[in-house]
Amino acid sequence: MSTPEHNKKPKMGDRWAHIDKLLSRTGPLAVEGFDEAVGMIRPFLQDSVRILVIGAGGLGCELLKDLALMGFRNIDVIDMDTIDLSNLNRQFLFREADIGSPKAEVAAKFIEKRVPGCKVTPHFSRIESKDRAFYKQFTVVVCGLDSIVARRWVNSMMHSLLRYDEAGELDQSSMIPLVDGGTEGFQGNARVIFPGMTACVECMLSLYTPQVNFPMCTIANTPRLPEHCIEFARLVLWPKHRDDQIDGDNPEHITWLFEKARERAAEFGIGGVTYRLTQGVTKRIIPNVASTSAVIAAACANEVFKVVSSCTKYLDNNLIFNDVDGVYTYAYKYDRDPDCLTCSNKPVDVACSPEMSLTHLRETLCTSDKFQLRGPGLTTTVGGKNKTLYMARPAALEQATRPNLDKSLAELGLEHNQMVNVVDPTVAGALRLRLVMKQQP
Amino acid sequence: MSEDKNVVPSQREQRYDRQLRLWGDHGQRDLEAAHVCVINATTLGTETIKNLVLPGIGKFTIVDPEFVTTEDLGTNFFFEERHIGQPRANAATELLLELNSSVEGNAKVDTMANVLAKDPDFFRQFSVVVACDTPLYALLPLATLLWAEQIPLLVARAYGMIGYLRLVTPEHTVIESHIAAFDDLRLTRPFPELLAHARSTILDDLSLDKHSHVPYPILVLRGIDAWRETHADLPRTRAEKKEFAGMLASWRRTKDDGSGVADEENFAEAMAKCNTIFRSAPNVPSEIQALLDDPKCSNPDKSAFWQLCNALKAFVSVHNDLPLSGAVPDMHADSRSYVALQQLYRSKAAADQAFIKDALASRLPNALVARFCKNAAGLVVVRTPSLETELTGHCGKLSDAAAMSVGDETRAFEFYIALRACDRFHEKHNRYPGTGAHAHEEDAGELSSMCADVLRNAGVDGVTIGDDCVKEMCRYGAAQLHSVAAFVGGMTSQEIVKLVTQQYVPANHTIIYNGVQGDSRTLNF
Ligand SMILES: [Zn+2]
Repeated sequence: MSTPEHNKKPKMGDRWAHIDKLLSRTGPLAVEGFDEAVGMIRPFLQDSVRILVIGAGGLGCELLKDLALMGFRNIDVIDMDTIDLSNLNRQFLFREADIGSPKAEVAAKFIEKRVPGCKVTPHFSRIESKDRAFYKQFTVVVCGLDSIVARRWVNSMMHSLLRYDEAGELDQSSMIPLVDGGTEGFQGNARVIFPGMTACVECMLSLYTPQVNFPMCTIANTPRLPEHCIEFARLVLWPKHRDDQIDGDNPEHITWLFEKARERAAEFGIGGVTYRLTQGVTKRIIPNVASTSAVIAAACANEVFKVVSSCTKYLDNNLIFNDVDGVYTYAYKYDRDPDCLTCSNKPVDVACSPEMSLTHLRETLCTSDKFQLRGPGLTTTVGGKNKTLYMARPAALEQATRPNLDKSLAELGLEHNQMVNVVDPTVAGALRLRLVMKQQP
Repeated sequence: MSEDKNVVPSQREQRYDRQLRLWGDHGQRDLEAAHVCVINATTLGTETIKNLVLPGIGKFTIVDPEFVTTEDLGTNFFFEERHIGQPRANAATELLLELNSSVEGNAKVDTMANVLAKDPDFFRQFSVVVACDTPLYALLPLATLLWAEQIPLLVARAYGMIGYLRLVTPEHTVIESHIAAFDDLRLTRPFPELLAHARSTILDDLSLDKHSHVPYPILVLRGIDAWRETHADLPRTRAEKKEFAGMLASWRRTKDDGSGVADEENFAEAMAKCNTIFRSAPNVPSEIQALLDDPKCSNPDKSAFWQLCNALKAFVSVHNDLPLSGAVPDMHADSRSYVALQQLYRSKAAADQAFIKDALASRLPNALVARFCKNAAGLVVVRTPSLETELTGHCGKLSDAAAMSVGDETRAFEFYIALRACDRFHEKHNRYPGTGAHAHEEDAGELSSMCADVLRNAGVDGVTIGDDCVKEMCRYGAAQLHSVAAFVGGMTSQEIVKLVTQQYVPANHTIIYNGVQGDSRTLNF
């Protein structure tokens, strides 16, 4: 063992000596072709590569640190949130003095100070406010989001950048790898997506557990759980007594809901309504700890490093992590859905009938497992002219198209094999649907 | 901390909100009472501490003799350029403490071996000790001391693309394992109050609305009464369970307008549960019976866990059952019927808790007794082999681990042996393979024969370590990749939270993370 005396003189070495062992030496587990590139990889990684980190929360803070210390020097980060006290148990780039400031800006500044030479460009904005030209700039995009809708939108955006030749072959130079992480409590997952080539977020949609909603009749008539009472206060009493929107971070709002929920619980002899539970149900809080964020972000950053450098094989293509009972990980390959909405590069069939109303068609798109859309708007071409069937926004267009909702598809002039373009919060750009009409006998 | 859940949470509670929802206020208290020692402020060391400072561990102490180098800046987030040449322990402590002002941190600039020689008591003050990126052989004296003190030791390493985490503890006990929800409703062996309550429900007298809101446990209990009129035993075979469900189905009412069977969700629930309700399983699960048969259960030491197990044993000998958890899952029912049922289960659970409390040899806090009873079906004891056994013994189970790992894509067993061989190499040459001035490939031959030595000394026959594993280890040259260190640091910190809160189950006992596959395996030998 070395002793302190030996080490009094600082050792001056190269800052990147650790990653250089992987980048400047080859080995049996390197990706084929890595040998020829050895020596050029670190300059490429540091000077040419641009990484986009989406989200500057629990995963985002970790990702920025991890990527900066894996040698990446050109990083952008986008997040529309500001810092809250409850972030500080895991989002380690923020301090109490930063509460209220934009996450992306504070995080970027911290990384630039701690890791000199690393340039982090913050974007304090919604992901949807950036266009294709923005997303096209990056070598790899890494997602650390807690929203499925946002994740689906990013997936859709990255697929919209793909170019295909006339034969339908993918132009691989248009493909930007997407690495996606997610956490909840002690569980998490990481995945590597090569858009147009491997399974995408939509292909894997069934992996996400759907949000639990209590049936309204239970909330209104037969409450049994404290959660039912809280939902009653939130969904029934609040709109009746208050005009403002519920803000889950406003103590006055939560206190109001808590007291109403407690009154209702007392009426039915139900125990267990607490302030913490009220806030949890109202804000749909997902529990989170530092350790899980650290693990999943590290897994994602490791994949970014490997995908960019080819220094060793990649995750193929999905990792599940859970450390409640021991430490369980499982890496496996999720297969592509050949009829995927997003990555199949072909219009997707939707079964319908001429008698079906437009409302019914929209509901089908929202409730079917395959689509799971959130608020579809539809346009098509009838008789060579563009026709807007329904649009939820802007308000004027909504008003103009609302009467179409009750009309049948036949009345709207839609036919078998009709192509319909669909916009939705989960989609960047538009989906192409083909109506497959079942003729009534 | 405010235990009154009826007021706006304090700043502290808001800060920790997202974790309090997982391990509760009592878990947080345990965490805040803990003092963890981290040997070596390597990237792995500081990442581990970071994930403990953020959730608010009480204290940490770093023991590290080294000084910050330029190389450290390229992998460790808790040093700045101004720290070059300063002790790593001091620099890391300074920057880590910025994360949470409630946490206390100390630095000791010395080698673990020196501290151990000068002041062995030093290590007795800790709840857990974590040794980062240290060869196993150098840890033996410390491991022996901690083993005798029953202080858990974690050995963690980030070595190129390979991560390693080993728990060393004679015993760790878990009260709240969080493995499953323990809401066994005891429908095949109802307690008297429950049975009386069910029998007081006359289904035929109820309106359709009431009838369709009778909680399914009552339907099942009434069903069992009816079944027993014609059957000696409960439904056991698939056919019998189907027959039972069919009987319940026949009890459903017709719709008020006479147009077919009413859609009664409570009956659908009861029928769907038949399979699990009539599954033949011992009243006391075999894992729990094994605990009750443990010599420590009859002769408990001073730990609360074994004293509670001793009382549990007395409970089981009287009741031939575990204490009731008192939890009733949500089900289709009207509010009154559900709350009445819940009340019955809660009263019985409280009575069971009172029995345990009376059976205890010495007084323990009520809240602890209640948690123990609620989670009695999920109690866990983890015992690992000592480091000495692993390093010096012929370990028969290692051969089993080797046999089981054939075809394992993560190559966890091979990388474990390769890591042991790297230590051997280090012991001989005072450097790791793939470090130093010469070409890294030149060390592969010797490392390969050292892998064979490790296997031979451990008594493992018929296994060879792949050349590709050996060559990759030489390529890695003990590099600390930030990504791998952060991954292992995340795991390590969570294992520490488990150890100090007695919640969740620590991995038993050696985890190998393969950063190439992005996957890990737990080896137990
Ligand atoms: Zn897809």
